[in-house]
Amino acid sequence: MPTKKTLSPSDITSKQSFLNQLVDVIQEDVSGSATRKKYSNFITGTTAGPGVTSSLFQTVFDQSYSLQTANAIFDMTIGLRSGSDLVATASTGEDSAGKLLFASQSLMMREKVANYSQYAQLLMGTATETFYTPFGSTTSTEKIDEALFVNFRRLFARDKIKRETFAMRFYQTGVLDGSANDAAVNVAIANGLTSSNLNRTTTSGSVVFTDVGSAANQLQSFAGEVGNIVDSSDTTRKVGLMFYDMGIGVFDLSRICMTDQHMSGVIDAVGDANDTSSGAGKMILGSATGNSAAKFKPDLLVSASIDGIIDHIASTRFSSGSITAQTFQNQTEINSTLIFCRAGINDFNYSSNPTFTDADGQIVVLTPNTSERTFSFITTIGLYDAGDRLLAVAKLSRPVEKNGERDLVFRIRLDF
Amino acid sequence: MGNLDNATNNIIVDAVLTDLGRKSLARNDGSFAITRYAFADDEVDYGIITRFGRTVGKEKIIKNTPVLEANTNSSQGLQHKLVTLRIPTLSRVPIIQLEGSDVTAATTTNPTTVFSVTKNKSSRLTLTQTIVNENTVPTQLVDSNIVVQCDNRFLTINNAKPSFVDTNNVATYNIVRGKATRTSTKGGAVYDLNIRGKAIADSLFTTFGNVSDKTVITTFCKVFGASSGALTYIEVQISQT
Repeated sequence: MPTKKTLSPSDITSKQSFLNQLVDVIQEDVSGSATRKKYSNFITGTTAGPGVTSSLFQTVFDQSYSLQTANAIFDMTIGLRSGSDLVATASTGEDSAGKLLFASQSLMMREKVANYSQYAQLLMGTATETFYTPFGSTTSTEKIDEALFVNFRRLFARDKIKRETFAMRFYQTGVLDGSANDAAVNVAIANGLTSSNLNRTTTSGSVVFTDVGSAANQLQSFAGEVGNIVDSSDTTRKVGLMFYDMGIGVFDLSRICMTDQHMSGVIDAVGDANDTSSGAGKMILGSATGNSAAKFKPDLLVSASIDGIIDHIASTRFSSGSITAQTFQNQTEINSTLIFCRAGINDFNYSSNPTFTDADGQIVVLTPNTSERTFSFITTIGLYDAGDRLLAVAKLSRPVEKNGERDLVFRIRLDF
Repeated sequence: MGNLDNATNNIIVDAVLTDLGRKSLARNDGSFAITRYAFADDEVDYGIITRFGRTVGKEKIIKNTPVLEANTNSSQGLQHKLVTLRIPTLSRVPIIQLEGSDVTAATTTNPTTVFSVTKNKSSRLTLTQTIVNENTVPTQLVDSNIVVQCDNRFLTINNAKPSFVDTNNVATYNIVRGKATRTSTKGGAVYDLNIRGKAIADSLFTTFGNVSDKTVITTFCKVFGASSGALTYIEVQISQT
């Protein structure tokens, strides 16, 4: 056909390249209830109150998740290691089948343990494995017993998270509630008792956790590339792990949060309310009628549902401004086919464009009775298979003249 | 489709897979194999050369012609292909004329030639290759085959089988001239096509029928001369009865 040319094998080649995109997650997306979706996957039985409904994880969106244009950025959940001191202390034993038993004052303990096991199996190879930070350590004090898991969605993580690009601004303490029971922090606060700090946004005292240094020391794990997450102000202080290929961050709650801080506020509970003012199905953590000296660890981590803990962490520990809470660069592997389309000097100098000729077939770009040669313009390139099916189309940003003195080669890149 | 940025002197190439390309990839049978290429000039108005002359006209076309983004619709991706004709002194190209008892010639009030066909019936359409103000069609431009594209929901060509039907219901027929050739008075190829209106459901006439007359569906066919590169659009009116 005079409209198509056949490609030779040397006209087609392939190459691989990488695309990095910067992803910023702003604070209010993490803290806002409209941008953080819960799933009613867990419902307790109960003898008192309505019972507890909770998610097993929550999803942070880039805008209200009720909008169709919202994109899920990451999921977050928590996990407790089965053999940890916290779980061992909270557990009342196990049944004959090996199921851990817990007092009714605790909530979702088996789910929290199962979460940890699931991530351990996925990232470390076996469900009984323990996360350590720094990665590869076997020192018992470097175990991650209470973990915050952050799973970045594929839409943003793409093929992987790029090493040494991750950073997270995090507030290690909650708002000081001024309780005299808070031995961990200064109780002499000028503004006195706030009475609840579970859902009050922290506004100062942030630190930045980052994977700085992970490019120089590239660690490998069962789940691919891994790096240590450290405190940017003291990079010897390891606080978590980043599994780059999986797009999952594992943070040690005992190291990113002040575990001894007094915690107070209303949480869901299955038992009778310890304070009738909180209503059925609720209890007041850290109140005088309950555990007045309640702390982040173990009390909040044991007594609150996964939703209760995530609500606290997401709504208070990331603050709620419009600045960056998390940032990283993703990496997309692009495999390209390069196709060289050549138009020789005698090729494609005519056109089937209806304006190329008049109604009688006279070529309009030629002055009659002269020795002028015809020319055409190229704006579009079509790529066909052997059956003449148009498989791909390429457009040039402006017309390129083709005439009998011009030999043109166009390089078309198809990315996959 | 939006326009491509033509503010710089760099030529940017915007390439996409078409619907057929994606379908071919999805089949996962190795059928996605690019073997040929073609060029087109869909946005170019060569009348500018007539109005402004070759030098200024070329400049205006190159600098003042916004080019649309690549279209993924395989039946719209390349409208007007460039043609390789090995006759350097050619100043006039063959055209395809439509003839037949069901053809209504273009007039000043209706500048499009119309071919009429009835549902469930065939009509003969003769495509005659000719050349104006020349004695004969150059031998190498006599079309040994033509490519006809039409809407597969409404029309079929008797005794011919589509090479393929794309995702937009456009059937592509490759009609080979064969040995039983007819020749026009200027030596061009002549093709007799029996085009049949399909058994179109009445409900389709309601949906696709003309606004002024729901018993008639208007569609367009494209005929492409494989050797001459001549391109003709045919308006086809399909009557319900």
